[in-house]
Amino acid sequence: MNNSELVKKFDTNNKQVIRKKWAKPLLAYLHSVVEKKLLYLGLPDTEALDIIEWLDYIDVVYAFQCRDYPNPSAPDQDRKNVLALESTLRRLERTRKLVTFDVFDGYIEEVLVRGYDNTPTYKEFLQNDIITIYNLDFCGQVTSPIEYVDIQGKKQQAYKFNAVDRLLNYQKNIEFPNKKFIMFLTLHCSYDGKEFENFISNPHNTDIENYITTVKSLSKGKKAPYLVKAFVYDQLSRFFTQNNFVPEFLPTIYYKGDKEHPLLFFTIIGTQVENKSGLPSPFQKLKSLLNKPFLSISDGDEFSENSSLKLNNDISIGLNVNPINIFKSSKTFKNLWKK
Amino acid sequence: MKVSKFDVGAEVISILTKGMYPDPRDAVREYIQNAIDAGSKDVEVKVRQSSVVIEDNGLGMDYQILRKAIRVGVSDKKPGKDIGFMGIGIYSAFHLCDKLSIFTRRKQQLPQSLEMDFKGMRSILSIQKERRLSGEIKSEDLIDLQSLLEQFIVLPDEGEVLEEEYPIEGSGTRIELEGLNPVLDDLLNDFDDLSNYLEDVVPLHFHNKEMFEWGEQIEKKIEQISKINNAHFELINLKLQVGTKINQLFRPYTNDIFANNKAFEPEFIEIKYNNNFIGLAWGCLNSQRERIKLPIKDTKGRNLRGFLLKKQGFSIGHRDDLSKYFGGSNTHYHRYTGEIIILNEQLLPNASRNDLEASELKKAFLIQLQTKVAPYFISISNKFQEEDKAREVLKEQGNHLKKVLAEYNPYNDNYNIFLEQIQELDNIIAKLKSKKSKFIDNDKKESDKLIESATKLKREVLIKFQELSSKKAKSTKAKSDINVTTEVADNLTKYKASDLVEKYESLILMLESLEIDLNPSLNRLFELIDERFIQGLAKSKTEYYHLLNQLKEDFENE
Repeated sequence: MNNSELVKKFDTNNKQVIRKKWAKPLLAYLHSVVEKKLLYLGLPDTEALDIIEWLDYIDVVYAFQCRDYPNPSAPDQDRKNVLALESTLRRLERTRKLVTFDVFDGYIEEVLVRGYDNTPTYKEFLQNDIITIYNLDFCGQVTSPIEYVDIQGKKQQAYKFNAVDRLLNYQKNIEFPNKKFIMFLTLHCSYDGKEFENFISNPHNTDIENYITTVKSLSKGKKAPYLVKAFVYDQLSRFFTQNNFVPEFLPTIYYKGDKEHPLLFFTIIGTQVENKSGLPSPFQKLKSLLNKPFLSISDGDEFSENSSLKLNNDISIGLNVNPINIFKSSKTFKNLWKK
Repeated sequence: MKVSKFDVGAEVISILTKGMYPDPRDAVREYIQNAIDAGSKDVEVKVRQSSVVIEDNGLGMDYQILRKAIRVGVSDKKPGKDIGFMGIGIYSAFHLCDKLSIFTRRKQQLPQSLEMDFKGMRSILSIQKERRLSGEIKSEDLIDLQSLLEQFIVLPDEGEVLEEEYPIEGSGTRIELEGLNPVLDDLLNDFDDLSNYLEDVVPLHFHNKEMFEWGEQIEKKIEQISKINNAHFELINLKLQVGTKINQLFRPYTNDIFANNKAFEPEFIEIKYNNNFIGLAWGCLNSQRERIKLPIKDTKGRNLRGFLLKKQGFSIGHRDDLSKYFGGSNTHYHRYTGEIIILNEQLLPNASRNDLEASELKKAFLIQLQTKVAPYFISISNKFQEEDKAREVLKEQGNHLKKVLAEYNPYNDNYNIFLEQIQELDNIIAKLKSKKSKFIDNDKKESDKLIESATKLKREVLIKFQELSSKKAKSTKAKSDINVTTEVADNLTKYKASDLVEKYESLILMLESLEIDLNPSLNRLFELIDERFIQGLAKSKTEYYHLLNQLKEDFENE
């Protein structure tokens, strides 16, 4: 299967619906709020399908592309995927769809944790401006940590969620008032990173402990999305607040990808708050977040509450499942976004 | 004799480009030159994983011009006026990348494009080389240049390239170098390396006043001199992106290369030969008798000591190349940073851009350089040196006089001390008088004042000496002592007896004050001696200054 066929294989209808009907309106809204084109950082496929769909709102792209998934990076691996993505983005730049872009050679976690990518010149990751869209599509990647070789030639490990933390830290350190951004995160339901295992075996508060206890009684196939969702909420809430951002989680979309693989699509809206006396508190409480039902994509390519993945305590979202309306009804919006 | 296309082998393109563009950055320079020749004001260079993009807002090319650009060694450009004129520059990335794509557009026309498959060309040449070595083919079987180019260059017909392929406003050209050779791209993928190179070789604007006090003034003056002499002088805005790092580039001069972040106002000289305008030189002299600062260790700055030869804005050779015209020593040369800009259209750079093409005019230019330009700058530096040295003597003798005054005790009963003080005062007066012609303005007045004070004090000490030596009574002395010493002291308020020690911050700076030239190896050796021995001997900074002063004195007394 050639590269283009591979891209098409993973570009399922559900993925397209999320891209067009969920993410795109949110980006259009963010674009209207920040009043300028957005800066995208993510893991696009070599044909940059997500970027192409969102071109009306994006003008700068920072992309990460590994050479030979899922193997650890090595200098002798073929760079064709990296070069293919670069070529796609260069075409978009030439045809004036993008202003500029850059591609980093490697897994995002290894590049960010180590500080440089796999090019022979050790290209550093430098962030000069506010990233307004993070699209971290880890859907095909279920392993964490990944091994990499550091500058002394020693083997080290980098976790995917370390990369997210590092990104938010870079974002925090850019001087800019009222930072606002959206993070999309796609994970496989069978995500089994080591940091995830630790989370399940050592829940660090009673809300999570109770939730895990409830979920553990479900059948094997059913409990995975709940556990991954709890893990993401917990981890990202901490990472966001530690870096002075208030997270607002929109409902998680549960959908089937290529070969019916179950995937989770998270949307987190980040807002910078002034660091007065300590870390900011999210307006959303973990317990109520955990009790939000999953969304799914109906046959008519619409979003609705997932009826088969529902716990007894789940609080209904209602019928009008529109990402902008959901966000606008949040306390985060009312307190930090509403003019 | 009839010559056919088979008489020019395809290998010629590889040989020429390898020789002319040994550094991958040279190829980037070539495409920037083309952009400037096309009238661009703004150029962007973007370096990515395996590609370089050079984009400009020049006039662009239509089908005919692009067709002509393919020619090897044939150019419609005007030597002298245009920077590139050899007709080879388009192939400068032949060994650097796999594919060259050009997208270009002239105002109100459809875009045009061109593709050159360098990888394919190199592959053919490489295969045929191997086959020739193994005796499989003979020289008659080698591919000729025309056939090679026809096989690997794609030039779509007029109107074939769609508007949306290159939908720019106005006009411009975009060069894409794809599939960089990973062995060669190290120098391109390092922002500092590439920006240093481009800042030296491209005709860029100077930094603003905040970064370089004299930049705007120099730029205006060059424009003014060029205009008066009907010479062509263009500068461009160049934006460089390597990875996510993006910066606007400027000429490399900044305040911080000068002592105390300050240079003297720039000096200019027009270079003429038999009333023919050749160009001009500008130079900024360091504000202290020191060389221009070298970059801080482990940073990627560069040495800006001396003058760089430029043809219009593009550099020719290196700064060290011109030092020989400024005499045997680099003492004055290294206290300047500047440029010698050739604006005469007849004086051309050679193909490698490391020297001027041999010509009568080049000879004349070099004579002018040696007999007019270098002496002009050296004389200014010399004059400053003399004045500065005189100022140093003034300060030193003022401090010395203060010390003598402080030690003077009219009640002293040892006439030998008076005798020594008289000698010291004589020395002070003699040293000040010896520099009389070098003092300027206030220093001259100050020197006269010091001589007067020293003379008065000497007279007073002499009286005491005579009194003591003739054993006269001391009762009538006190009144006149106080009057003279108070008057002298009033004249010396700004001097400090303790300032007799010069505060050299390093051995190298002390050696520089002695006008000793050190090559880089000796420089490093003295740095090590300083770090490991002299600094180790000193228990305090004051003691360190004393050690260096002592060393200087010993050397001078040798």
